[in-house]
Formats: sequence, C-alpha cells, structure tokens
Amino acid sequence: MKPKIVNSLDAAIADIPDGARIMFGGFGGAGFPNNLIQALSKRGVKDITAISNNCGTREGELGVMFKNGQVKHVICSFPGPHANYFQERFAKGEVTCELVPQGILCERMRAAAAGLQGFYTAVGVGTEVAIGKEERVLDGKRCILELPIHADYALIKAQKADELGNLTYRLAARNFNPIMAKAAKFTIVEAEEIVPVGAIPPEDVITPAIFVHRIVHAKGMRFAG
Amino acid sequence: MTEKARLTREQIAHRAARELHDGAYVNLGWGIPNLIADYLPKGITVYFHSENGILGMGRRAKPGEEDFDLVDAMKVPVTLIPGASIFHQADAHLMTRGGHLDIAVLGGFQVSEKGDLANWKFPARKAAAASVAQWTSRPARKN
Repeated sequence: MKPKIVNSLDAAIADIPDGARIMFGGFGGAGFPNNLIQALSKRGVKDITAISNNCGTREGELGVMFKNGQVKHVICSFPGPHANYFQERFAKGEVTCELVPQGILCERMRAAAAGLQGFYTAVGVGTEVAIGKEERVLDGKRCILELPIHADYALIKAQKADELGNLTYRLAARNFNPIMAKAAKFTIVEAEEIVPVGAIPPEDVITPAIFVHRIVHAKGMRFAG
Repeated sequence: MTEKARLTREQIAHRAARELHDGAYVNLGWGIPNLIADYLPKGITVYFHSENGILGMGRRAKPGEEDFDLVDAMKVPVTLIPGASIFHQADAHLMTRGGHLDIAVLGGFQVSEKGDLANWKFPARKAAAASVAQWTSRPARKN
C-alpha cells in the first residue's frame, strides 16, 4: 500500500488545485486543521469553495483565507461575530454564501458519504432556506428535499493517527471532523500524534482508515477566542 | 412611573434553571441560556447537551482548568460530569431533530407575546446563523 504519511504540511496540500471544493473541520476553536489552512494560505490556492461550520475568527482558522481573497463561495451555518474578513468580502460581493442549518449541513455531508441522493426534512420549511427546493408532505409534515454536499478534499484535525490512517479525536475537537473525513473524495489529516499500526485498539478507532488518504504530523495550533 | 429594576442575565439564568427536572437532557442555546449550567438547583442532575457533541456538560471551567478542546457552543471552556459522553456533530443534531432531548432553552433575538421567535437572522444582515434554525421545526420533547 502506498504510504499515506507525508513529511511536511506543504507536501500535504501541494496538489490541491485552484477552484477546489474543500471541507474544513472544527467548531468553537477546537478541532480546526489550522496548520493545513496556514499552508494552503501560504501557497495561495484560490477560487476555493469552502464547506465549514463558520467563516473564521479574525485571521484565525478560515479567516486568513477570506483575508487573502482565496475563497469564492462558502457553505456554512454560522458566519459568526468574529468572521470580519468574511463579512467584509461578503458585503462587497466578493464571496457568496449558502447558509445551511447546522444539523442539515451535517446530514447533507453524511448523504454524500453514504452515497444517498438526498433526503426530506421539515427543517427550514417556509423560510428562505427552502427557496428553490422541492417541497412535499410526508407523514403529515411539510418537508423539503435536501441534496448531498460533496467535496474534492476534506482537511481535518485528529489527535492520533496510526500509519494506516485510523483516527481518534480529543474531546469536543471531534465535532465535524469524522463527518467530513467520510464525505470528501480525498481526506488530508493533520494529527498531533502518529502511532504504529495496531497501537489504537480497533474498538477505539473513530474514523476508520478507509476514509483517510494523507496524514501529516503537526502540533495543534489554536487561535484565541 | 417607576421603572422596575431589570433582572440581570445571571438572575434570569438562575430562575430558568429552576424549570429543569432531575435526569433531564437539556440543550442550552446562545446567550443567557448558556449561563444556566452554573445555577442548577442543588440535588438534581441534569445532562446538558451541546451541539458540538457533548452530553453531560458541567459548569464552566475555572481559570487554570480550561481545556480548549472542551468548549460549549459559545466557545467557552466547560467541564464534564460523571457519565458524560462525546460524539460528532451529526449525532448531536440527530438528538435534537429526532426529539430525543427533554428541554431546549433557546436564545432569541426577538420574541412576540404569542411566542413567535426570531432567532437566526437579522433582516438587515444578509448572512446570519442557521445553527438554531432547526430547533423551531422540531421542538424538543417536553415532559
């Protein structure tokens, strides 16, 4: 099997092309692949469609990508109060945004992972979230059809990776990471620790190696609130 | 006319905490609801749920004990109580949408006297927060 471990952050993201659709894990300052984001920012990859819960915290997390104008479209649930670089670009029309209820964001990625063509939900009915979506009544409830969210790449943060790519996550740094790892065509992991195959007990594996394509060792980088 | 003194955020959280019952699974929304865990009446155990994949959140972490991999939905470092569990974001929202929780304490921007709630978008802003939108479509089971 081709080794999945690469020796540098630059090598980990070297083949991501302009225009790529990329999922980024992380929530509330925890579990962001900040080292990979920094490398992507340094390389200047542009016209990215970003799929992530939020839009950065000032320059931290995805913020630097909005600051540099590398993102053309974002699919998110919370372009929150400290996402000033996103908000500036959004106000100027330099980036477009699809706002998705957070749980539906998860399920649309899970549909992509599971090879499903979509699902119906009552979430968002009668709001602007429903605009342009097929509506039908199921089980007496108005529902809308939600379609999968696919991506070329997922950039995620794990606590431990074995050399095959089996992953564990620490506490609430898990958040979106396992979902995105399964949904994208190619998953790149920054892991705090790389251990030999067999070092993670099989029942403790959270993301099985089948979903992981490339691993790089990096000490976690965190941006303050 | 004398104006009534407004309750502080902490007093509101303190009062809301008294609505919770022993053994309840409870989601806390943004804003004041987020303070409720600090004011739980003595003698009851409540399992607080957070959208980022925590069940069994305890009080906020004290200075020096913060772990930034263990934060609530407002990014505040929290603690866990015995019996807590961690899961991914999809399962966290599945608990909500699927009606598995007992109580949700919502944060809102504006509420009418009939209970109509504005809680995910300011009309003046084009981008807002959709994280709370799904609560309104499937309220949590209320015992």
